[in-house]
Amino acid sequence: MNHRQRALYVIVFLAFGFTLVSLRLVQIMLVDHEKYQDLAINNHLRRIELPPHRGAIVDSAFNTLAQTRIINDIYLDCQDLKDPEETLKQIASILELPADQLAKSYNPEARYLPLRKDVEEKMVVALRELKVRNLIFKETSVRSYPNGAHASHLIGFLGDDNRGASGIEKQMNSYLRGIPGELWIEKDRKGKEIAAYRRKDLQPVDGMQVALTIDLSIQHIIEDQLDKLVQKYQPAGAFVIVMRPRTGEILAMANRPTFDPNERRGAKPEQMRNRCITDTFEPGSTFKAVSIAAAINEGVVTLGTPIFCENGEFYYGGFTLHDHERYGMMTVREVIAKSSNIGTGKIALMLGQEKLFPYLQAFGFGRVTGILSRQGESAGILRPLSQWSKVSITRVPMGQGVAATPLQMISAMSAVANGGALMTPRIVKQVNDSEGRVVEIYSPRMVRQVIAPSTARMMTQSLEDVVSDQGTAQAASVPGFTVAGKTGTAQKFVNGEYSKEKYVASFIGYLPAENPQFVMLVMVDEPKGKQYYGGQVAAPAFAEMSKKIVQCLNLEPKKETAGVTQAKL
Amino acid sequence: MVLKCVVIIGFCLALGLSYIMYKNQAMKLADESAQQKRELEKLLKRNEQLRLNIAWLTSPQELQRKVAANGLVPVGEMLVVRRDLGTGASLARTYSPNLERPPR
Repeated sequence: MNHRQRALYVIVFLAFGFTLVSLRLVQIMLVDHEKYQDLAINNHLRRIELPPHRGAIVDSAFNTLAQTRIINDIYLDCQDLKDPEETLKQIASILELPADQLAKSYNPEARYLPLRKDVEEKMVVALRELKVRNLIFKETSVRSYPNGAHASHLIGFLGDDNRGASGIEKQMNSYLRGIPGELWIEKDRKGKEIAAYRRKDLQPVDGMQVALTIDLSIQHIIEDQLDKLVQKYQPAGAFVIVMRPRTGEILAMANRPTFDPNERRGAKPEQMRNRCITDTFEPGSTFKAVSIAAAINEGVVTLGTPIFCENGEFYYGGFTLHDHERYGMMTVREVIAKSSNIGTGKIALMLGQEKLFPYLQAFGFGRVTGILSRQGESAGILRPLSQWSKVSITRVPMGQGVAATPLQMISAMSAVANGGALMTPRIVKQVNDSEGRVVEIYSPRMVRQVIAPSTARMMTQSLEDVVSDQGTAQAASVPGFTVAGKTGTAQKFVNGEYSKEKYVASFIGYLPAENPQFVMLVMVDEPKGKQYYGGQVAAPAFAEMSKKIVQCLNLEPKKETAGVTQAKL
Repeated sequence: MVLKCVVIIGFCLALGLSYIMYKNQAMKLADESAQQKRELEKLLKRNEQLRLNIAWLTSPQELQRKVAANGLVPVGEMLVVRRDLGTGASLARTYSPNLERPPR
């Protein structure tokens, strides 16, 4: 083989080699380009999900009712920990833990030893300054409710998946949750971010702030009073709702039994139910206001129309209807003030069930209000006319054979207070974005005009009598203000008959009667003890709360009223 | 010829060096910006935490607890004062004409 041949072989060999290399390059750079690009990117790129901050829930004055807070949990990777004895001592002293406790739990094989949860920020800073690479800092967000059990049924709580599970947390979850962001960073060989090569920087959109119509001061007043009621009467349940009649805004709502959303692990389901919207009760005499309003509106009676109350016993439809006293001839106004069952029954008979029924529907009975959708709100029970018996026309108007939620009852009374206009009860006032800009405002919505304003005025006059010394709720009076309202004492229907031991005592009233600023319902389910009438149990609680609420709302008392000091400044 | 080469090499060198310099500057600024952003996030987080602490400390229950702990007397029934000045603002509800009571 001469030189030329050898050179040729070398050239051919080299050419073949280069061709192979070229082919491989073509395969890598053109054919499998995307595959290798992805591999290269994944090798030094990292995607970090940026969770949004869940929006806060605030009251009408922007006091925080629910907010998310970040807690720091500290863990230790025990493998390859340098100088464990000394390091553990330092860590224990910063975390304010007994040194021997940490030493006992130390296991050189453990990769994720929990040291302490919910650690203060200053401790985290001190731990970071130790520069122990084995320490693992984990941030977790938890929902915090600074007012504890106050309005807990309304505010609700989060489930384990951090989504709203009940109350406003559930209702407004789409506004509160926010939108997560993402960050694509490039790392150097030490795993540190090269900030200049940041790829995608999509910041999270924090959840919106939901402002409720709740007034925290009023909420506190009613929670306080409910505690006193529970202590005094040991009832199965107790409820208070305060509503602004002109707008349908719920100013406060409280239930007993209740729960603290911060510590709801031990809470029973019955404690967490918002009974103001889920449970129905026979309203009893408070319902008379609705029935008589219908009769007045239809022109069947006026406040002065005389009604003979049969001296306390009225036989109709095979049954005898009783009054708690032997009333004779009374005007409609007195029928309301004395809460005569017979008088109300006879007024309803004059009106007729065909005319009464549409009014009951128009007042909102038998339909959900929609205040908290998909949270078990009950529509109550309002049987269609086809299912009414002969005596229904005398029983339904006095609140028997019909069931309503406390919210339905206060809405109906609000309509009377509001010149006959039924408003949609609402709890959300507005939604603001994380920058504080208003995103949505929820305006008052009128459902319908149920009764004429003149009828509503007449009803208010007669309901004022209820709270006079002639009526059943003298204890509901508030010095300096004219109160209009109606008591209710409903026997509970137990095992197919009306119980003589279990009652629901209630009072719904509003003030000032001439220009109502708030309507309040007080309902006590099964009060224990000798007192069980609405006028004895619920009315005094109404007065106690109203005295404080008028101060919160800055309402001016009338001139020259007993118990009110006047001064010229 | 040599001079030409020197000038070209010098130009390339200057170009390369200035590229490295600006690149380094850009990296440094990016680092600083990221650092500032982290600081800002920390401050925002701290702000949120403080806001929440305020909410806890000013909650009615906490105030009630403090009132009890400090031996203060809770504000009870207040005398309501009315001034006859027509449309004037409603009066300070806390005003008490009882001069025996020390001012709050």
